[in-house]
Amino acid sequence: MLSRRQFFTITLIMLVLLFLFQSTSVMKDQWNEYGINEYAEALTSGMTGDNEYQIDLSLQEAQEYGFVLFVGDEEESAAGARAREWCSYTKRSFLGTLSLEDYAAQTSHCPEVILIDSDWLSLPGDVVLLEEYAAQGVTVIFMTLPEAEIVAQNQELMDFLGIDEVRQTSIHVAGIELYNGFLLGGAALYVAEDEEEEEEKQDMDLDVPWYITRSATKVYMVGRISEEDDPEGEIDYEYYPSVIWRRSTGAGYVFAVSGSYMEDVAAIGILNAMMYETEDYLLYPVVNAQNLVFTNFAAFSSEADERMNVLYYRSQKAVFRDLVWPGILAVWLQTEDIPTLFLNPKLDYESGEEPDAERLIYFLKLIRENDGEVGLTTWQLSDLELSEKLSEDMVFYEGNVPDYEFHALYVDEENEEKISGILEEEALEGVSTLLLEVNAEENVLGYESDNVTWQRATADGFSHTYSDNLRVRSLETALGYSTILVDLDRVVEAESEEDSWEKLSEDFSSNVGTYWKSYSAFEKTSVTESDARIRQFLNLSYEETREGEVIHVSLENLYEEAYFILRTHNEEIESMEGGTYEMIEEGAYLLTLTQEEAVITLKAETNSFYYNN
Amino acid sequence: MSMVTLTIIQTTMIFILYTTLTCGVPFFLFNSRLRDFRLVVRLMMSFMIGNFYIMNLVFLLQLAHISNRFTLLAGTIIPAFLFYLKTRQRSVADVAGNVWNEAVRMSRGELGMKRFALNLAGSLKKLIGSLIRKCTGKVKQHPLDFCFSVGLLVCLIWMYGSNLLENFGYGASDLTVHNYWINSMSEGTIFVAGVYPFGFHCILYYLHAVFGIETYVLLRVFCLTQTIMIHFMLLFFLKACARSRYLPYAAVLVYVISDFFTSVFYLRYASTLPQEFGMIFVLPAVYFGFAYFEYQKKELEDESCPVRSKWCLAGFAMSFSMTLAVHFYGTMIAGLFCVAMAVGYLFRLFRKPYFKRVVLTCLLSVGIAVFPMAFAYATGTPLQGSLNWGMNIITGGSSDSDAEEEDAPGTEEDSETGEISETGETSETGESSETEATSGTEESSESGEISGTEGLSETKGVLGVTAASDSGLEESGTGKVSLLMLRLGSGLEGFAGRLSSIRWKVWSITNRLQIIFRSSLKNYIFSENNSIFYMSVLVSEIILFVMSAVFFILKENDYAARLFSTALFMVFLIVLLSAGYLGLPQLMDSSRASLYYCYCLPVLWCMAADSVLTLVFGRIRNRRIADVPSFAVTVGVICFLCAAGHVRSLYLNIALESNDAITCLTNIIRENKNYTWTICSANDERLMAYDYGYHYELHTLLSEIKDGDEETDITIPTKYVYFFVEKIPLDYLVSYAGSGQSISEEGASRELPVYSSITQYQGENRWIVMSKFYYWAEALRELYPNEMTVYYETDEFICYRLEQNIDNLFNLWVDYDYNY
Repeated sequence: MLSRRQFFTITLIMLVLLFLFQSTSVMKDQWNEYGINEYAEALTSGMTGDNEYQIDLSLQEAQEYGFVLFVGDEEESAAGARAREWCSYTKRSFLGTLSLEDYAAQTSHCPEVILIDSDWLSLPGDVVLLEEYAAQGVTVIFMTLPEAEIVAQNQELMDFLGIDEVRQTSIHVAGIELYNGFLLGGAALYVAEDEEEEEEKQDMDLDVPWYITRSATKVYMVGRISEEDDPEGEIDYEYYPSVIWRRSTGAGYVFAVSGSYMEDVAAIGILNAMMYETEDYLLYPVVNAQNLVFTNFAAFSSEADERMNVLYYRSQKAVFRDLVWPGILAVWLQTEDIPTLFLNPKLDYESGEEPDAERLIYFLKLIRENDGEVGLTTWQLSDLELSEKLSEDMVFYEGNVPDYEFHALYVDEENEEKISGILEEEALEGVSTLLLEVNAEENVLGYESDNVTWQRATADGFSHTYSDNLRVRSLETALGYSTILVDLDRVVEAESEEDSWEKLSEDFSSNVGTYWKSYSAFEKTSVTESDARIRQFLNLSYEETREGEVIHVSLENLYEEAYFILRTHNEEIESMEGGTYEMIEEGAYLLTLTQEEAVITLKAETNSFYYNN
Repeated sequence: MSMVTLTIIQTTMIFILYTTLTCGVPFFLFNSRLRDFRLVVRLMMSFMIGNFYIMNLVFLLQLAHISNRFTLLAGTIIPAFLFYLKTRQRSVADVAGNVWNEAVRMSRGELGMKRFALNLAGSLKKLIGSLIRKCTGKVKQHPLDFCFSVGLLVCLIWMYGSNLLENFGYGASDLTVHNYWINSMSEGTIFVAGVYPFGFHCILYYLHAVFGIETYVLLRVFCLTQTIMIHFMLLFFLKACARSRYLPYAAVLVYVISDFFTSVFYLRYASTLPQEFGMIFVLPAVYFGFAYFEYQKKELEDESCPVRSKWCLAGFAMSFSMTLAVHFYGTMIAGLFCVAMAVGYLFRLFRKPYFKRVVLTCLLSVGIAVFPMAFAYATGTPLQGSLNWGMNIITGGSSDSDAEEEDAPGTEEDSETGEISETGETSETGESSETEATSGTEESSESGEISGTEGLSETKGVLGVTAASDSGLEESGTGKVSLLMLRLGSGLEGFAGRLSSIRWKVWSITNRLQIIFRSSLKNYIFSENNSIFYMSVLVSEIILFVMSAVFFILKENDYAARLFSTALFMVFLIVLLSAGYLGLPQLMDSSRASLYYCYCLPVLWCMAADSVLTLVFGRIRNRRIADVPSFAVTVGVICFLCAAGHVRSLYLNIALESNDAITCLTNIIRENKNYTWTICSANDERLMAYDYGYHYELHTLLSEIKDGDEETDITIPTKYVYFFVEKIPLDYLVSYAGSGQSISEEGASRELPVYSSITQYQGENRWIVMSKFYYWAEALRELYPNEMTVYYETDEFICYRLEQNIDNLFNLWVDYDYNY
């Protein structure tokens, strides 16, 4: 029998417990600032396109500065575009010429680097000129090579490239092997273990010329001979077809790339790695941004209910709430990425259905709880004019979250060309960056206008082929940048089991959790944060010098923080002033510079001995 | 950490490990059984037991091909533990039961871990405390002995340890051969180059395998430990044999610090060589022989007397066996001393209770030592080259095959390694010339010949003079005989003539012997041609013979026999030393015999002085008073050496490898994973780094580059390749006109020397090879500046490091302008 006092005490305790449990949920809900974009402050004044670093030089200016000479059509050729892009990112002055002979005739000034598109080479005359430049310490990079038959017929070119023998003009290799120490992320073997993997991942060009390079060369990437061609395994690795290699002339270096690797964005990382190979250290600016974005998050309407019911026995809203969102959340928690979601209030703007405002608030709260960001998207199932679609979206958002500043806009491939025309419209006046779809043949970053940047997704979250992997390595090496794009329109438009969320989420979580592990030193960012870093990166200019073990760096256009990669050939950093550093991998450091003058001190070699005489 | 500090740590660690293992542990285990012996004898016995056990354990496991860290540890710990239980009269079951009970209590929580640890710590503390109390008790009992011993130890460390800190490299070329043999034991192959006394290698292999000490480190620094033990065995022997308490210290200190002897002896102590290691066991064998005769007699006379003779026989068997298992020369010397002992104890040897046991013990000791070798020989392992030479001597074949003996190890090395052909161990002893301050006595087979020839010619010269004077004296003697004939008549004429002839013949032979011995001592033993040295030897011999007779008369037969045996042994030894001059078969090269002679001279002097002191003061009952004369003599000798400036300076050996190379090697082993690197050099790193990395012969590389062209593919398949270049090439046993000059384009422009042996790295050839190697390395560095880096550099040495992709190796063929 309980006494009144006991009853009162028990009741009081239960009330206190109830209060304690419920109050946290209530406070979390009440104090959730879902209506404010917490990353809006990342952008500071001065981060505009008119401060962008300029790389173009005239021939007259070239007499005074160090520069990169590109031999080829810089406007039309893919190699030219990559060359310009690389110069832009690495703050190298750029000069293009269609003819090396003409350039040589006009000036005797030596460039630092000569990039060659072999289509514009005149053989054998240009080889003689190139030999002269190489003898003066100029680094010569063949971004493409002539056809193997032509190479085989031209002994001068073979000697210049360090090719001992053209064993076959074309051989079908089992895969490609990238050696350690060239790109960040270590070695990679792009050889499929079985047919399924071959089908799923192997998209590299496996028909390569069989160049054998030996004396005074160093090979960075080779083709792996298939078992059919070498059943007994008698061929030494040194005699495998070289794909990327270097020849030392004593004074300078000659790099050659066999295949089309320098025609997509992988080229910029490869070029950086090549420059690293020519120096005892290499310091260059990077973006330092790792984004994970989900586009077309259509959890607020019910246009696809019919299809969803067939596949998942749920409505569209329920699919996004019960299946998609938990899957996304699991990956965020696993990878500690900062999520950016591009929301679709509606899919079909002709349906007349109003988006669910309550669901919007629900998801915004969840996103905010996980430090995520929200952006706009151009994608729709209907054919409404893009500006009208975006205006309608903004009306919906302003009606529910009037204070939220939408800085990021996802532009699907169809609308890439249209977008520049409507950026000035009122609905988009807050947009500061455009997120573009994956396209390996286009530049990665840039200014769309003085106030708006664009950043391209670098990988598709649902698939990761060997070429994708090489591209990721290359871009991480060159820029410390990646954007994994998980386009949820595949869920919305799913027509078979293959596109079911269970299958897709499995692929994307395994991809995201695997291939970016080596780059954990780079910072996870939202798209707006990434935008701020891109602006800093594009506007930055710097100078650096090394005296003994000390590297001095001077910056211009530093806003808050600038990021650099320092590769040292296994030298270690002892200390740093004007910023901080973190090791990416052995011999590679990520530097965060917070002051315009920074000093990096490397460990003296003598300190590295365990025992001294 | 500096290499000097590292060397000190390594040396100290090895000394502690070795002495604990071979002396400390047996002393602890056998102390109760040996309590009837004096401390020095117990120490000697323990040391013999420890070495004997380790040596034969390794032999056994190696022959069974199951030798590794675990079997060696098991073979050491389990028997020691069982023996310990037996001495404490505890059964294994009891101990196992106790351990089980403790484990059960711990598992139940009745006994906490901390409590268990406390109990264990308490037991250890008790044990250590007891040991310390015993040690301090002994020190308090004999403070002067302790002071002299510590003083001797300090002198030894100072005199022989300094070289270790100055020169890190091997001081003798045949150490590479021993290194190779020990390396092979790590792979389970004993007698890799043929049957050879491997006792020394067994001990070093044990330390390497059980404690993980690199073999090259052992071969670098074990010499100090070995040398300390050699001298302490000499001290223990004298302490055990002599009756004066302090004279042994004087004798050993004279040997260690005086400048009376040539530097060759001391230089040999700077290297870890088996012959020197074998010296440790020579005098203990002799002592146990002496002691046996003494104790056996006492036991026969008095049955209540503690039984010590069996231990002495065991000690003799072990030590004599080890002389044979380590190096045959040690056995020869021990054998000679045994013969002298047999003569000295002739009055007892052939008696029934003695003879049978002595013979059986001798057979047993020889059998134990020979067994592993005989087993290996019987199972198809051929004799090592130097043994063939020994067999020739024994079977009466050509004895003039010094070269054969010298070549033998080198030949083996050549055939096995295909690259090193330095002369063998015996060649090293050719180093009789004291001017050869090189470890380099190798070369000194040449200098040995020279000094030998000089000695001989001088002897001949003196003999010639003597012969002339002999004839003169003979003539004058004939005149005297004529007068006698006139006086005494023709009956006595024939007798007097014969007598005169015999007298003159004896005089002549004695005179000739004296000149030969004197010449030998002058050439091989003493640093100065001072007749005092010769006289000291002669007088000591005479004193010993006379005193042995006196003590026989005084009925102190054992002491007298020891004196006589010592005197006779020293005569044998000088005959051995002078065998070449005397026309006798030269069982041992004079330069080697001289080492033993010199080592035994303190015995001669000490026993002679001891006999005199014993005769004069031996009757004094009060030990303290009786010890005063020997103390005074000892202090006097030390003061004389210091005051008269007869303390020798430090003799620093010349290493055959630069300190920088050893420093680099040590760092390379420390900082890389095993077998991920290769050293390309002209030195001994191949064998030093055997268990850790690979070696590529420098000359081979240059030859391949020379013979190749742009099509040639030269690769070294490891991630890291280190290239050792001597900017100032050292003189590897051979000097030349330009010795000490720096590598240069001039050197590089010379033809690459074409030799198949060590000659390619000697004299001027080394300069040429290093010059070419440097310019090749620089050319490669120009092509691969980030991959080919300078790893280490000083004014005399440079080490490059090439880092390469093991899947795509660099082609090392480079046109460096001197590819010829």
